[in-house]
Order: sequence, then C-alpha cells, then structure tokens
Amino acid sequence: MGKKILIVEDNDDDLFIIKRYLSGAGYNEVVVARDVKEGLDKAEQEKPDLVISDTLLPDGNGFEVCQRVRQKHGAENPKIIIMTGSIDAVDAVKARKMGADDYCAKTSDCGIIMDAVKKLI
Amino acid sequence: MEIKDGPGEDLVKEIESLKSKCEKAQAELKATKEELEVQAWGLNKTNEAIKVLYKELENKNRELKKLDDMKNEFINTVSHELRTPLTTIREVIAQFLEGILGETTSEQKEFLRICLEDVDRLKRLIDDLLDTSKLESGKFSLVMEWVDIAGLAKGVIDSFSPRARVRNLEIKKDLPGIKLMAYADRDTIVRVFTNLIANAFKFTDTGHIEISVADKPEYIECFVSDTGKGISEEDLPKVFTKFQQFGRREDVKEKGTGLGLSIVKNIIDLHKGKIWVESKLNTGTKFTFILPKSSQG
Repeated sequence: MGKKILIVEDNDDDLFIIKRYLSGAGYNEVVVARDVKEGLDKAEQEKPDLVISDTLLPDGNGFEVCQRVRQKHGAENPKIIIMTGSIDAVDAVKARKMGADDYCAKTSDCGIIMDAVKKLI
Repeated sequence: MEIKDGPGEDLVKEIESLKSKCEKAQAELKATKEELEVQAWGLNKTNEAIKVLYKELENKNRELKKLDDMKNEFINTVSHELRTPLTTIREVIAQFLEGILGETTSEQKEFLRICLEDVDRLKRLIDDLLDTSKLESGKFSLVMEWVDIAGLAKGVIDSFSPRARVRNLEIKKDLPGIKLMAYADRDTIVRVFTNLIANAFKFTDTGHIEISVADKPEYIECFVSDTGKGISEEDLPKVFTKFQQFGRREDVKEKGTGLGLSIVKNIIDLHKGKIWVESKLNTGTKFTFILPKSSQG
C-alpha cells in the first residue's frame, strides 16, 4: 500500500487502538505527533498522505492543525480527517470549513475512522 | 456600422450592466450553494458523530454499572464471611473480661478492653460496608409502619446523654409535646439520628448540639446542629459521598468509616425525603432532613 499516515493524538489509549486498527488494515507507515506544534512539524518533514487529528489537543485543537496544513500544503494533499471523542466538541461544519476531508467520532472499534481512511487513500 | 449616441448605445450599456449583475448574482448563488453544501455535510456528520458517541457512552455506562454490581456483590459476600468469625472472637473476649473463662489480671483486662473496642470498630465498619452495598444494589428492604418520629428522636437523644455529660456538652432539644407520625422504617430512621448526632459529637469540643423535630403540613422537618469545627466550603459538596472524611482528628476515640453520612443520605432517599447541610468553619454544622408523612406522596 505504501501510504504514510500522520496521527495527531495526545491520548495514549486512543492512539494505541487507532494504530492497531490501521496496521491491521495494512497501513504500517504511521507517524505520531502529540500536539499541534509537533503535528505541523511532522506534516512538513514526513509528507504524509493522510493526517488524522484529534479535536482537543494540549496546545490547541485539530481545526488549527487542519487550517495550517491547508495553508502550507494546499487544498488537495495531504487528506485530512478530524476525529472527536467528546460530544461537547463535535463541530463538523468548522472542520469542513478549515479544509478537512472527513469528520468522525472515535469509537472503541475505530469502525468509522477506518471506513473514512479507506475512502480517502 | 457604428452607432454613435442615441438609444442604441444606451441599450448596449443596459445589457452589459444587466449581464454583469447577472454574473454577480450567479456567483453569489454559487457561493450560497457551496456554503449550504458545507453546512448540510457538516450537520449530517455532526449528527452522525453525536449519535455514535452517545451510543458509545451508553455502552460504557452499562459496563460501569455491571462492574459496580460485581463490586457490591463482592463486598456483600466478604462482609458476611468476616462477620461470622468476628462474632465468635467478640464473644470470647467479652467472656474473658467478665471473668466467665477464669481470672485475669487488671493489665490483661486492659488489653482485652482494647481488643474489644477494636473488634467493635471492625464490626461497625463491616456493618456500614454491608449496608452501603445493600443500599446501592437496591437490596435494602424497608419495613414500613407508622412511627412517632418525635418519640423516636427522644429515645436516640436520651441514649447520648451520658456521653454529653462526659464531654461537657449541652444537648438542646426542640421536640413537640405530641406524637408526630410518619410512615417510615423505624430502625433506619434511628440510624439516621444516631449517625448525625454521633457525628456532631465527634466534631464539637465546646458549646452545644441541638436536635429539632417539627411538624409541617406535608412532611416532618428535623435538624441536628452543632457548634463544632464546621466543614469548609470546598468539602461541603462531598459530605454525602462515600469514604469522605473531613477534619480527621487524632484524639477522637471512635474513628469513623467514612460511610455514615452516605448511608444517612441513602436512607432518606429511600424514604423519598431530602437532606442537606449548611456549615461554616469554626462556627458549626447543621444537617436538616425532611421526611414525607406518607411516602406515597
């Protein structure tokens, strides 16, 4: 498959689960960032095909990651998925306006996220 | 042929202006359509995400409830197993103290008394744990009957009189001269008064403890107040939570289990009553509860 994925996520448990499902589906090239700053740095250095970012991050939020990746790398690539695990933080309209390709809820089986990944890359 | 001046030129200008307006309107329409598409997509996705997360929360809740039930079951079993040998141990110590099992020296008696106190403390802890687990799992059954709450309160207050004398604390009581009947479980209401008054004793060094029972149209209102050390504003919301102990005191002989007030709240809830607390540091604490006269109401 050879597609590179960058996950921006600060929660260890969520990160572990997503990585497991991704590798189960054959996506083995996974890079991890723990906050907005690291996410933007890695997006620059690693040139991923897809960025999956959590909404709430220690130094900001996923919308910021999305907006700044789009400003720097254009509207097409990388593809971006914003995910959320908190009902309070659900805002797909904002994600779309910032340039996200998809928006989904984090679930314990990662079903929705995996579907979105397969559709985008 | 070139048209100069005249109606022809105006017409061209008019057409061009209309064309430009039309293009502008079209662009606006396109932008609105795009915005609407983003909104529709976003709302759809938002809706989907909320639904999924809600379901996820429901599942987690169910799992937690199952774990809580398992915990209660465990406490229940363990408490029963602990209580049985404890009764035997207590009986043997008591018989030694009373001299039934032979002579003991005064030093031995002192040790046995300490043992007995600790066995009683352990028994209180086990009883509290057992009650809490029963109350939480809904297995606590009340024996409802018409009870004179004022008379019942007087009984509990009288049982504390010797302690008040020893501690040099005044017990003020404001009880009506008549019976105040409520449909309630006698033993648990005794427990409520006992726990609240014992608590007041524990945290009051000087002044008084006041107990009041008053008749209201639909319910009976009771309070237990003290002039003790009080509870800080920060701790106040946690007062009825399990295993919360505030202002622990090394000099208090009868150490608490941190379950007393949680049990009180559970009992009042089971009676469809209400309980609340007011307190000020170094001034005192007042627990007020109301009991419906008939819990059907």
